[in-house]
Amino acid sequence: MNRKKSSEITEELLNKIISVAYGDASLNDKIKVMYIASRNEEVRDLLNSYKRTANEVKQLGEEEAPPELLKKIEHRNVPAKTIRNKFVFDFLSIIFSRPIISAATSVILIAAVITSLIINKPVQYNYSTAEITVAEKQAKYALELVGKYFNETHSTLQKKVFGNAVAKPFNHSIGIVNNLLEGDKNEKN
Amino acid sequence: MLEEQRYRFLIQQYKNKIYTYSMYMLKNKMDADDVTQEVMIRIWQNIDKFNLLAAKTWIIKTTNNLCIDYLRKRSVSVNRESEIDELFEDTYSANSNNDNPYLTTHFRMMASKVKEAIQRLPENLRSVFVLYEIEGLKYKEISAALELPLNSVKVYLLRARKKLQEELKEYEPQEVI
Repeated sequence: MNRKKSSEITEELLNKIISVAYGDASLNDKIKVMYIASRNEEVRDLLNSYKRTANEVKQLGEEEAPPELLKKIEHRNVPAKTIRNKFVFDFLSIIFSRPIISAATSVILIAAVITSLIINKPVQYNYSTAEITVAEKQAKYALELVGKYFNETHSTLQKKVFGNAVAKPFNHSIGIVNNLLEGDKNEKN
Repeated sequence: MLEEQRYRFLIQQYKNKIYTYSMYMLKNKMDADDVTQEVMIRIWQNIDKFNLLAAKTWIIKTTNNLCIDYLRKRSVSVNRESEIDELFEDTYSANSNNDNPYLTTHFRMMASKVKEAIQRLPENLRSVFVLYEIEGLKYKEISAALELPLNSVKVYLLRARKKLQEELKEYEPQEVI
């Protein structure tokens, strides 16, 4: 690779190098600077130097406010009797003070709402004409079968049940009663 | 009851931001304590006047104004600036290697040098730099809190980064292991 030993770094390029080093450059600038840095030693050194500083700065973090100061202010500002009831506040502050937790809570809630909407949504059937025709045929066949069995039951009831099981014994019993009545009549005469 | 919960929520959320900003701006622990205390009192006094979403800007703006007041007062009084090592608690996370005393010392030294360099930045650059790099505010939030145009915020940040780099130049090559 033909690397340049030195080149003039313009103000614009320097600004981009700084942004890349601190991690807030656009993707386009990032690619551009990385490409130039891979070919130019001076740019690479500058980028690395700024990156080191950026890392040092990023590791600093916030200072912790002295707890005794907070305690002092809390007792001064908030009435003492209300200090004890902290559970609800602590719970809410855990949820709202940390972006990850609040984001996760929101995602879970949204997912739950969407799931419930999907589950409770009325099912919409979309059948083709062929399917409807087949279904009609099957329904017709099923109704025919039912009709046939009703007819069979009707004829069985008329012929076997009423004819043999009801009408015959009934006639027989009527005949017996008739004979008995006629016999009684003859005896009287 | 609701006011108290709002207050607690805000304090929980911003106590370290207020304190950190005051420390970097005032370079003095006592003054930083005073400003932090004053901001918290003002939060309590104005708790029903702002909503939680707009609170961040209000709090940073109030902190910045108080810091400026303190700096003005101080410029006419005795210079009470003390050494940086005495001011800051050791918040530097030397996560690279805690077992290696040499590395730990090196990281602590570097952190101290970086803090010193940040404090040497001019006031306007320092405020933008601390808010963006250390407190993680966005350009828009800084612009609203410091009442600066958005472009000025970007320019100040860039200048601060360049200046910081210059300040730290002398430590760079020798300190790297």
